[in-house]
Amino acid sequence: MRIPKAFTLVELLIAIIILMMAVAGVMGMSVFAVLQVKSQMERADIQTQMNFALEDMKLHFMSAARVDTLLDAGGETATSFTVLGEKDIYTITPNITTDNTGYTYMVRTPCYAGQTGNCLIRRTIDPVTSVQADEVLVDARFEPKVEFIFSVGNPPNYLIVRITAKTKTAPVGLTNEVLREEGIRLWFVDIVSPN
Amino acid sequence: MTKGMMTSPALPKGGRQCRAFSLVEVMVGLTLFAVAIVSVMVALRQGRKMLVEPENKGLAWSRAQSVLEKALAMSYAGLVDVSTGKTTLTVPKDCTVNVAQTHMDKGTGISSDIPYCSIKVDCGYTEDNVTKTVSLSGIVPFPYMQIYSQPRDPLTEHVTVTAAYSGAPPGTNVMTIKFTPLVKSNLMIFYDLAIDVTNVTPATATNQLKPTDLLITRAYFNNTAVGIPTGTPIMTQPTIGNVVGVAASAVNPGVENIATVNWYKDTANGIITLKKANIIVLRTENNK
Repeated sequence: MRIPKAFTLVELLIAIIILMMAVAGVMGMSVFAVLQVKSQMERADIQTQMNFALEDMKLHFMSAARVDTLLDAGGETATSFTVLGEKDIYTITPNITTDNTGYTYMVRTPCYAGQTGNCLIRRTIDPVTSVQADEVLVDARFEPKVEFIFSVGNPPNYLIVRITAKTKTAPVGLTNEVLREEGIRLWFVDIVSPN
Repeated sequence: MTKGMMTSPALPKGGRQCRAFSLVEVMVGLTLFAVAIVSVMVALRQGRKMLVEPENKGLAWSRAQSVLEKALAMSYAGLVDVSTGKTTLTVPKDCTVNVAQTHMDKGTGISSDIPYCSIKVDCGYTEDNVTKTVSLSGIVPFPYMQIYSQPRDPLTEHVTVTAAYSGAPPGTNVMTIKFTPLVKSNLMIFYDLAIDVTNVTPATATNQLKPTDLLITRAYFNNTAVGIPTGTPIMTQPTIGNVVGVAASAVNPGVENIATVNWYKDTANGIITLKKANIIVLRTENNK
């Protein structure tokens, strides 16, 4: 005679707990993997935006005919920088000022009205109409900061631009702060105030 | 039913047998699980490596580019400390810079070669636990136009002249500037000087300065007179400025050249003292 045998209550409870732990483990691993990939993508994104911002500055500073944010020759760090440069950055005419326009690189606070978060922008100011147009270079979600640095001993037409930003999450082994720093040379004007 | 049957612990025939996992099954299961875990970890590690290594390389490139931009913003003469022969550039950690003053050797001597500063910047970064290097290079050409200047300090150089100058030129009351042009060059020598005038007393003395007494200046290049002597009245115009030109044929490239300005009064009357003086040489490349 066949005696059917079912799981006991204890066996079922143990099996359920083990199953839950296994599912939780797999889910945890999946979430961890997704977060890692997401933070890596975010980090790559932030690098792309910072590179874009630095490239934009290089292109616009190169033909600057006037610097409005003159830095102290004894060393100074500014958080915004304004130059008068070419409207068409690929047509450089340092002796003609009528085709110039103002460019300010700064952190706009807040980036958008009614929202929190600052973003790094390039503000273009038409010298005739005073009309402003802003272009966001580094998103508000990355909380960017920018510094324009002149150090003693550097040439007077040489500027160090440092951009720092933060990712929401960081891949294992890395911090969530990303820093890019580049030296930019101006061709037609110095950035320091004369003594 | 017998007593023996009642006490038998054996399962009835055809009953379901309870079996645990065998060791082999457990080992296979654990191995598969470990392979899965290791695969995920390797994938994550590889992803991080693919993220970090280009980032490190990019940072090294930024550092190298910053140093090179700084070098390109400096002057040819400012890149290398003449006294030590080493570059004056400061470089960030993990970077080295090599600056050398050199020239394109056309085999016809330094006077026709083109001097320039070569700059090589190396910045290191780590990839696969191996230190690799980003290298950038550039040049700063020898300037087409250059200025050498030599102000005299009147506080330490109280040059006083009482007698009329009578010696051979260029004489002892001179301003001198020494420089080494590396290419064939034309020169313009600019000089200016201001003097204090002291007249003798009493006012009736015969050796009083007269309105017609002159302060004379004359420029020399490598001890050869250039231009003509220039005279200005001492009494009414105790400052003088002048410009003379030097042809490229008189300039010796690659060696030290000396520009001199001699100043004197054409009379024994009165006393003059140098108050302030400057001598400036403008060099432009002669490419003919």
